[in-house]
Amino acid sequence: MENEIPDLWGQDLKLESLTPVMVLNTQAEKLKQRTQGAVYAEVILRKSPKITEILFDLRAPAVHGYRFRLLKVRHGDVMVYPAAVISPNMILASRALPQPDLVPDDHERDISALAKSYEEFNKLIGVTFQSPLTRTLLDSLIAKSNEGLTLPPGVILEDWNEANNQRPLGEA
Amino acid sequence: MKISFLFWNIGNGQKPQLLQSICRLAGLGVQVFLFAEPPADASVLLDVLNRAATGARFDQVASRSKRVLYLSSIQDSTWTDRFFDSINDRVTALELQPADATGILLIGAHLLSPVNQSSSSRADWARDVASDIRRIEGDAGHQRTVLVGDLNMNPFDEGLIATTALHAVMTRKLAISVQGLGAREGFLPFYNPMWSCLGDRIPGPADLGQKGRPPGTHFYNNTLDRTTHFWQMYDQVLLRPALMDKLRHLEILDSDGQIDLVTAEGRPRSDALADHLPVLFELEL
Repeated sequence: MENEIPDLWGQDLKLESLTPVMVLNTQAEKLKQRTQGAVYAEVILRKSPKITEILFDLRAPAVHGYRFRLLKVRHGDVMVYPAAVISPNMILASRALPQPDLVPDDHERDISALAKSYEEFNKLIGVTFQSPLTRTLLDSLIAKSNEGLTLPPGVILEDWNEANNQRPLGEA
Repeated sequence: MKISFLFWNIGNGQKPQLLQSICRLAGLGVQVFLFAEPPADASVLLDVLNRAATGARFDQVASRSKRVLYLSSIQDSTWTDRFFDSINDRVTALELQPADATGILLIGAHLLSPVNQSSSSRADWARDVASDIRRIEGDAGHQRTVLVGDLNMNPFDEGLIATTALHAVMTRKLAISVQGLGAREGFLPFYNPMWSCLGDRIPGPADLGQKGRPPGTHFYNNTLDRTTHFWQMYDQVLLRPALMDKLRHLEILDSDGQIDLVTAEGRPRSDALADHLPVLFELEL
């Protein structure tokens, strides 16, 4: 009799699901490995009784520790999905907008997308990480790190303002 | 080394009279301008400033943030961009390292307007800003910080006074003593000298018969609201304890040295200039 009762939970129930903070922390580790520490990410968790907020900041030690806030995630305390991914890159994604109780600020909602599941969350984070804006930023930070703190041999440093000030009047 | 700073919310203005006033202020010795709501292209402003015979050459300080525009004429100084929030560009955080003086973090802010945000919502945003400032100070490795800007809150609003928000207290003694309170542990205060600028009365008998000073930086003329105090002190300068004794001068300006920045009623000349008054301050670094 017991064998006749079907499994109604569907085939897509997976045991690999992770919380957004675990996903982002793993991605921070991967970034550090991929860039050999030239760029790394700080994952900052902020909790209020109802909402959990995660900030994802890129850091570049060779560029005076510059901090670039790439994205923000908001979700409920127990119900980590749906999660709102907030980033200017979200306007590139096909997306559902979060409800005002999750993202109350109008501007933030305009640049948000709602991830209803772990898979959707991964997709949206991938959109952000692989966007032209992020790629340009990472390229710049990695290049500056490769340059190091000293100029390559043979390059002459000239003060731009001083050079302009000393230029004779009338010269472009 | 004394450095003179001026913050002004110029409301995207590029009117000739406004530009002339800015030039005259530069002529009075302002070395660093911080403009909220700057024009999208700063080159007009820079051209006018540098053509004026002030004897100083101004350059735009580079930052990815567009929130507050910095123009500086300090020679032999280094500016370092510290932070950019691609989601909410609320503060511009630059570190100034003069050649022969102590470096500071100069954080320019333009926070959310009360038009669309309640007082508690603005306080909540102020908590986020305060948290970011603590983080930036951690990155810089010091707490010699000035927060200056149009905070869109008054010195007595929750976002300014709450420990977990900007935690800005009204006296230098408090800025020291509150650090010993258990309830405030972990939240370094700011000293907020703007408390001393509230109201029109100039301290002492010299005020008698005079027109008084600007009572705030912005006039909100809501005649129907029976609880409004009309004058707002939205534009503020806050200093961490490490810098509060370096403040040499602080003034809300009602004149650029030649023309009045206020109407006959003493209100900002929003038609020709801006609906906020500039705040001048000097630090001995």
